[in-house]
Amino acid sequence: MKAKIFACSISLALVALTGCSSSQTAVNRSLGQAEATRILASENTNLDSKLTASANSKLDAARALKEDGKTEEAQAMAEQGELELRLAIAKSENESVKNEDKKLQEALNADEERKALYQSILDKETKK
Amino acid sequence: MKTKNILTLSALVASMSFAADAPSISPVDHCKLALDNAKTTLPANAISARSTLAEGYGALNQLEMVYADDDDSDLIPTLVENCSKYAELAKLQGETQALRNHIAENWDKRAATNRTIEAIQEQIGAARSGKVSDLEAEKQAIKAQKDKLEASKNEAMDKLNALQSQMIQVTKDARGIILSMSDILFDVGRATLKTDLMTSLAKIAGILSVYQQFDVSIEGNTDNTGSEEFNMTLSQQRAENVMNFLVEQGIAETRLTAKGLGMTMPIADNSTKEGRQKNRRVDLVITDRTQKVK
Repeated sequence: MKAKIFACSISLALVALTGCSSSQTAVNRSLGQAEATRILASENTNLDSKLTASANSKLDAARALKEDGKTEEAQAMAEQGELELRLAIAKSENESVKNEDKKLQEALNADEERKALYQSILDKETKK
Repeated sequence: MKTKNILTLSALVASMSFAADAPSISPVDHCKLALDNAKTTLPANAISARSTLAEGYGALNQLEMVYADDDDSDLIPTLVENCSKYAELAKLQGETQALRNHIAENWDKRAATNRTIEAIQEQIGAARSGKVSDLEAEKQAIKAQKDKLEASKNEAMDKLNALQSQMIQVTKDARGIILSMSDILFDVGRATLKTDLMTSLAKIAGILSVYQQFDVSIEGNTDNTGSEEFNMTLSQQRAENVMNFLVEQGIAETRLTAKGLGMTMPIADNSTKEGRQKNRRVDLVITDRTQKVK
């Protein structure tokens, strides 16, 4: 009976350790991913500074939560920090594409005006 | 689906307005609503946005599990916020993709517009070169016509010069070619044409029938002997007789005019015998109609 109790205790301890280990891995992975995104974001100088500052403070908070052993909270916070960095990058990209779209629209309008001008010249040339 | 979401959102807004009385929406529903709403705005080719949305639905699953386990968990606000951020990010990425699609469409439009412009420019070039060559051909034709007329005129002049004799003087001035016929060719004091004159006039008619561009003004002149009235009548009659003879020879009347000038247009001194003889004459002023038109 003692042997059975001992075996069960060992099994439970292993399960607990495995669970704890996988949570730690997930937190580390989230933080690592967030760190990679932060490095990527640092290459872009046009990012929303408020958003990146908020993201950085959340990553710091995630690390602190991890230190406190609050792995789930740490993972969620790391995810949020990373999401804010991704949002900052997406906003910057959106602005850049908006500008490109605007310039292209203007160029297209100019082309259309040129077309109308040449058409009017052709009409005059062929009317004579 | 869109209508359903709008209705759900309306219900959400309504429920928030009466939050004190109505039960509040669960964090799970809030998350799902945000993600579903973002999904409706995505263009078909928004791959990164859809990938983000998939991550968001993953976060929703996690939220559901945590909420089911403990609806008062400290983790819930962070998970809800993450869910909202996934929705916001997906929406933004979708908007960017829509802009990229618009850019691609506009590049296609630009390419098409520029192709059209090139085609129009070619048509303008063709129209202009066509006009230039037409104009050049017209110039060449005019020049050829002018050269032909000039050659014809010179040829006629040569033939008329051949008529030069003691009784017919051929000269050229600003009015044209002038054939001056002495009054020896007429009976004295009369308008009847002598045989020699008729022979010369027949030759002239032959030349005029070939060179159709020439018109003839027949001018009768006298010296200052006799009355003015007589001289005027005689000169008119002689001019008319010459004209009638040319008409008989087949020259169109429209090409001919006859007028008597009497003693008004002397070409020599009437005080001498020689001068008076020169003044008694009939002039055929031959003019080039084509030159008159110009």
